[in-house]
Amino acid sequence: MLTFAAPQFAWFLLLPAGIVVLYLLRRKYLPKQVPSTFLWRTAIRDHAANKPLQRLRKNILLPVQFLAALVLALALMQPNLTGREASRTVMIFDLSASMQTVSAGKNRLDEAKDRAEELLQGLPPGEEVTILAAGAEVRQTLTGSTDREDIRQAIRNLVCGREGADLERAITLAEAIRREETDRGTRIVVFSDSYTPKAGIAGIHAGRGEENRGVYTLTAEEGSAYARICNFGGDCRVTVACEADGKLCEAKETEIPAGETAGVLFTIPENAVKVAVYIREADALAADNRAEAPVERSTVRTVALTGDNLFLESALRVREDLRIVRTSEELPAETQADLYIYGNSPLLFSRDPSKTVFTWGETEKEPAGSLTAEESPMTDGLTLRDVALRACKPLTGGKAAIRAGNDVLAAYTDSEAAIGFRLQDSNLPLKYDFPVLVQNILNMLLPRSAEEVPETEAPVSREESDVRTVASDTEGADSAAAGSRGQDLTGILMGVFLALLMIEFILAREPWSRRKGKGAAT
Amino acid sequence: MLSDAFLSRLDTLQLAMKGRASGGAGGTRRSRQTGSSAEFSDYREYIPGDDIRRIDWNAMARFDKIFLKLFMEEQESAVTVLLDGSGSMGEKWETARQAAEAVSYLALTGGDRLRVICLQENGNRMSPQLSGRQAYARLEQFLDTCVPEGAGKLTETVMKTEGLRRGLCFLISDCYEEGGIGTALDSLRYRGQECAVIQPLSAFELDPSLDGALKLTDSENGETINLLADREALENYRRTLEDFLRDIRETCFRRETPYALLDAGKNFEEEWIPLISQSGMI
Repeated sequence: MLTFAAPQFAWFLLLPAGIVVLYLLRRKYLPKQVPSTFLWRTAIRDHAANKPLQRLRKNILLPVQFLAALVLALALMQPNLTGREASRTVMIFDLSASMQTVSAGKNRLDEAKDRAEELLQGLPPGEEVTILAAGAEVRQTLTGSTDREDIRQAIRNLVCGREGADLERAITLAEAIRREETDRGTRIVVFSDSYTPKAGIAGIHAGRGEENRGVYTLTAEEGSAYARICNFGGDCRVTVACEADGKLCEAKETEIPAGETAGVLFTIPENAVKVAVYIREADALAADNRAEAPVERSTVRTVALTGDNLFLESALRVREDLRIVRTSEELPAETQADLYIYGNSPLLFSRDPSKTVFTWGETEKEPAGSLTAEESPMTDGLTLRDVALRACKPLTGGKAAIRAGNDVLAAYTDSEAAIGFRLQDSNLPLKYDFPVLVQNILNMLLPRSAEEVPETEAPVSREESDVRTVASDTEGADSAAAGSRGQDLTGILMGVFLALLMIEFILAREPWSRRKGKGAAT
Repeated sequence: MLSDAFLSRLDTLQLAMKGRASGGAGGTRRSRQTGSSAEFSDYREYIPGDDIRRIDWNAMARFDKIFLKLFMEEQESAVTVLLDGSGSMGEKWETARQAAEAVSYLALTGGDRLRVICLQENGNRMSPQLSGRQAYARLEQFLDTCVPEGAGKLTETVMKTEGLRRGLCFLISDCYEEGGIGTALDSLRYRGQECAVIQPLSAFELDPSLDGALKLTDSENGETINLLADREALENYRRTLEDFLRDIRETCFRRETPYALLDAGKNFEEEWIPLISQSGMI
């Protein structure tokens, strides 16, 4: 049975008729009486003799053009010769966010599921069905099942994500499945709101173009939030509201021309942690009407450093969000810093050095034993292997992190950390343990801002919101195509079309020696 | 209709004839006969019965024999004008008629007997025998009755033409004839005609100025052809015209037939005398 994967191109069947009309309406000849056509006939005969293809051209050009147009129209309709034997069907479902778009009370995914159900009913008994769920990742939710109830259940369980759909990957996977089954025909059907059917892969379109507005981007800093609203439909006026930490702080109206975007700036409290922006008016896709974002704070931290220790500075520079300021040991508090590091013995890391809990002995002594690390955030990842120490000042206060015998040589609190020996009395700076230790201390006392970010709901990705939600009305693209399987005739027809084009080109071409000026005889 | 001034210029001219006039009444053409004109021809010995007024007494005194002076017999010649009366001559009919009148006038003033035959598909129209200057008015009356029409098959109509007497024959035609006019000329020569060809062509035929898509209709037979009159088409036509004219010229040259191409777009009375003079018709 001959079926067409893209019957909407049937309009192109009017093309041959158009060619015939053009032939009928072609050039009119103005009558003119001459004494005799004797010489003109001779002139035209000579001219025709120079164009051996002229007669052929005259007789065959119209049928060739007619055929070429017909073949092109058929090729665009993607004909398939189908059989009815049991085979395999791979269904690919687009689970992108845009499939949540609601049309006539039903979202696109539900519509796709209905279409899949219709297709399922038309399948011959024994037909194996594989279902691929194409979200941001591609999952094979059902493999080669012939049980109709299992198939229906697998389809019913599909849900949309908030991101795009990797249809390309899903199709590649489906084609790989088809290649495995060379003895049986495998049909691939894509249920999507954006897929354009191509040779050998049928597409069933879900949904139609709908009005939609979405929050495209949202960024928030201390005191302000900026949202960009995209309008994927016609001209509109929308109300955009902003909440900071769950409390409504501002709402603004804005006009957005069709297909444009508009920026909206909100004022938020300085201490707000999280903002949410949403469009009040309902539209086809609710998922992109709301977005949340954490309030970004200044991420550069200042570290005041006394003394002159290159090893320590190098280890500190690993953190790109730190600004290191050198200061004197006597006046460290005059520097507004997030962390103070000073003293050679012991080495003290403190957010507020005036409130240190650590104490240490006045005189140095030899370590009581080899260094051992206690389990703590400060010693995470430390081995202390081959670390040697010449002299130390044991610490008291805080939680012990490194010991030498019973002496505590490193300790920490929530706001401080201390090391009870001078770096130049140890080979620790030369070991890879040293930068690890410094980073552990920094992570304890100056955690990265990202780690403090509250969980937020990001805007639906732009490509989901724009193209798919306002997908053009190609509804009912190809339910017939869903049944297509077997030999795809599109390639053959395109080949025939090209051949006819070549013939027409040769026939229509002027003789090579007289390229300029078209011939006299018609 | 020719002007009086032009006719008076023609009075000084005479149609050239290579051969001798033969038969007919007395005229101004030298004939093969000896006779009574003032033009000396030969001597011969006296035979009893000869007119003694023609004895050359000086020769008798010198040679002691009686010689008789012989003079040319001047006879009239027959001049036939074959005027193509087919439909294709319509555009240049006036010029063709003027040419026929001019030739006829020369024949009448030259003392020749003239007959004008209008060649037509449905039977030729033939004027009566005309002679003498006063017959010119009758000639015009005859030409007034001729209208170009119908298809022209020149060779066929020429071959069917009757009543030709040995003499001069002027063929006035556009010579549009499949296969050329050679056969027609041969037929005339066979019948003792010393031919001359005058070919009038209109300005359009000599240099057509056409443009665009045209349906050309033949004025003779109504046949049509579609033409895209672009540069190449016109170039093709000009080449064909050149070949056609060269063919006519060569056909005439091979038969020692004077030939003149008459441009109907130009002033006839200015062009005529130099044209027939160059072609050797006068």
